Amino acid sequence: MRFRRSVAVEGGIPTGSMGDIVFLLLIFFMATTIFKMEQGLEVQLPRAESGVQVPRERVTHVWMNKLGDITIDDRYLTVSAVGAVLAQKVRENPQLLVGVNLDAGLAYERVDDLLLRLREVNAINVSFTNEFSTD
Amino acid sequence: MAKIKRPRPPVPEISQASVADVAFLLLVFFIATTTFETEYGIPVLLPGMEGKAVKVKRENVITVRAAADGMVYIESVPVSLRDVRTRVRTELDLNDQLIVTIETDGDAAYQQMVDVLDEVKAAGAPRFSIRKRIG
Repeated sequence: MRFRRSVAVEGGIPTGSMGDIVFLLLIFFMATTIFKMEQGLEVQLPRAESGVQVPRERVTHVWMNKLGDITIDDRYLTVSAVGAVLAQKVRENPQLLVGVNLDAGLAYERVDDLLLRLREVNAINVSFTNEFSTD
Repeated sequence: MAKIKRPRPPVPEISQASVADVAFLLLVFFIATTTFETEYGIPVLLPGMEGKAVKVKRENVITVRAAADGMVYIESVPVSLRDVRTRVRTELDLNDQLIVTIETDGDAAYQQMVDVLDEVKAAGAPRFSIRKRIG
């Protein structure tokens, strides 16, 4: 009696849906990408554990490094000019959230001065940006 | 007479063979440029300048001082940073009207103030004020 050899089945991964998957991933990345528009200053943020996640896109950042240089939207400002810039932003958006990115080694005197300028222009919604740490 | 068949005009079509390649290219671009940055911050609502000063009973206030030498004092008594949370929590259990005043020396590092603020927040204090120590 003759036995027929079974026909070898060709193994292969169907690639028909690859295009769909690529498009889905593409849409995901396009929807979630935020292009970083602000360079900021080089600061070592303070560490804290009680910080909460802040929606980056809703925050206006004020940067101050250890030397006391201040930038908003990558424009160097003096502390007295901070008020004028933020006053304009508060007029446009009264619920403005100001993220203060200050160097951990900065003297508190400078921080207090900055907070006073924020209060003067009613930019009272402040977030002390920190690095999350459980130490 | 033999019928002569007219050649059919070719149906115009757009080649879609390269769509997947273009999608892949875009996908690679977005994967390469996307950074999932999360920002943490300690939210604080500063008092406005127009607001009247509110009188509070002395027994409802506890002062935590962040000194320039790295020491922390509660009502002028030196404590360790870890003790701030426990002490504030105990005081809050005894008095739910408690207001924590965080006083920071002008020449103390900003990290000092954030450390104390972090502990006060972690203790669950709903009302606190931040100010620079005068004198």
